[in-house]
Amino acid sequence: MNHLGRGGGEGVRIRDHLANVRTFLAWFRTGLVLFAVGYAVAKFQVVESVPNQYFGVLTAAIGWLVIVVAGLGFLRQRRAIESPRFRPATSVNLVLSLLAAAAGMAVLVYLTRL
Amino acid sequence: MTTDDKTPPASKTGVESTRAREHLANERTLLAWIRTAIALMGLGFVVARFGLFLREISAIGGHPLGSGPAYSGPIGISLVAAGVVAVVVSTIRFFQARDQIENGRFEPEVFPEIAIVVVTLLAGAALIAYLALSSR
Repeated sequence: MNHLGRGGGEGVRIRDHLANVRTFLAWFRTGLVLFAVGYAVAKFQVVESVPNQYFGVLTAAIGWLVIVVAGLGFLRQRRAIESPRFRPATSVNLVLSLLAAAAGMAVLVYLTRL
Repeated sequence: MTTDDKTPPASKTGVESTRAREHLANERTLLAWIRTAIALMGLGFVVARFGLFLREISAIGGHPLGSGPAYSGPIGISLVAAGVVAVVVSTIRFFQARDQIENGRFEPEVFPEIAIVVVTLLAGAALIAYLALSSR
């Protein structure tokens, strides 16, 4: 019926594509939340006249980049699902975890110094 | 004998269980879209109203913010509008994919994902530029 995909059958191919969309949306939401946190922090930094106001903007910029990565990863996996080989993402997830940990530490430092 | 006109005889074959999983995956995908759209609308609302709130607060506190034009409103409203469009498009897509699963001719989409990324990135870039300029 359909010659696309990695040989798991049409049902597997459909579920792979739908799972890819959900993975993309999860990444997109993660970037959106990072952006929102950065935006809120930056706005409060303006109000509180914090000397170094780059932290909030930096966090928002990281969220922006995560959304870029989400779109690129979606297209990459979409091609992989239609081709015979699957390439699971690993380094991107590790980088995101490290960024999230760093952002959390920065918020802690920021809060305890005020 | 009551039978759904679309459903084949309720056999516990492998094909039938795969079909169920495809429809459930389609449903989870719609829910993920709705969650994402709600997050987008929430961010848009915060962007549109938070700036106003902070202006009022800082004016009361005796430290009025710069009197430049407020760009947060239109950007926030466009993010909420993008969320509404995402709900409509993903719901249409859900029924489209539902038919495609039944017919065995599934076409993976790409436009909604690209569109939501581009719109959000444009709004985000505008907000970051606005923040960077107003925080100097």
